[in-house]
Amino acid sequence: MMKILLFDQNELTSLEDKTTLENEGYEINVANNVEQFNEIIKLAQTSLILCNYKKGTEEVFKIKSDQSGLKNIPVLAYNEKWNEESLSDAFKLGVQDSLRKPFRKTEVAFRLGRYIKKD
Amino acid sequence: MGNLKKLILIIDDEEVIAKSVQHKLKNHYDTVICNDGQEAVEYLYQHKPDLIVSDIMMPYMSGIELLDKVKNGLQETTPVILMSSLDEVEIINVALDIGADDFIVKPINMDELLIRIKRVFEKVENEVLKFR
Repeated sequence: MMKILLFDQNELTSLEDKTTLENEGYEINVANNVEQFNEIIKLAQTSLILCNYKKGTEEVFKIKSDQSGLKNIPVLAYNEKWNEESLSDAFKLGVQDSLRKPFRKTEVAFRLGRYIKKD
Repeated sequence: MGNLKKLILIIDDEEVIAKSVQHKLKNHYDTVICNDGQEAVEYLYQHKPDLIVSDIMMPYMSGIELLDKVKNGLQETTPVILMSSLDEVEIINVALDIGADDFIVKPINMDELLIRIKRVFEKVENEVLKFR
C-alpha cells in the first residue's frame, strides 16, 4: 500500500499532522529523526515525503542524495509562514511543492492529489 | 525594442482582492482585471493573456466553469491558477481533473502567489524547450 512518510523533528506536531491527514483519507507513517526515516523508507513503500520545512527538509534531501533509490519520490514541504525567500529556497533545494500550516483540506487535496491517489 | 512583460488576467468579484493581486504583480507583469467568469470569457474571445489567476466562487460563472471553458477549447494552453477560501475538497478534485495549473488558498499570501506564477511560467518554458 502506498503511503506518505511525514518527517518532522517535532514529535508533538507530527502526531497532530498525522491525525489531520489520516482524517482526510491518507495513510501516514511518521519519522521524527533520520534513523526512523531510514528504517521506515526501507520497510514501507512510500509514494511521497512530506516534511516540516524548518525541522526536516534539509535532512530529507541529504538522505535523498545518498540513496539513489529515493530520487523519484516527490518531496513536499510545509511551513507556517512562507515568504518569497523561504519558498524560493525550498524550491531550489528540490521541493516539488509547498503547503501552508495549519493544513487546509482544499490545499492538501490539490497538492497531494497531484502525486497520489487515495485508496 | 524592450522586453514585453507577460500579461496576467486576474478574475475576482471582490475588487479589493483583485486590486491587491494587481498591486503585487505590477512590477513584474502587465495585468488586467475582470470581475466575474462571464466577463472573463468575453475578454478571452478577444485577447490571449499569458496566464490566468481566478477566484472559484463568483457570480454568473464560477472559476471551475471558467477553467473548464479555457482548458477545453477556449485557450487550452493558457495556464490557470485558481484561488479560493472554499473548504470543499470535491470542487478541488474537479479542478485537478480539468487541469488547473496551480491553486492558492485565500487569504492569499502574495509572496507565495508571485512565486507560484513564476513556477508556472518556468514549467511552460521548459515544456516549450522540450519540443524544440
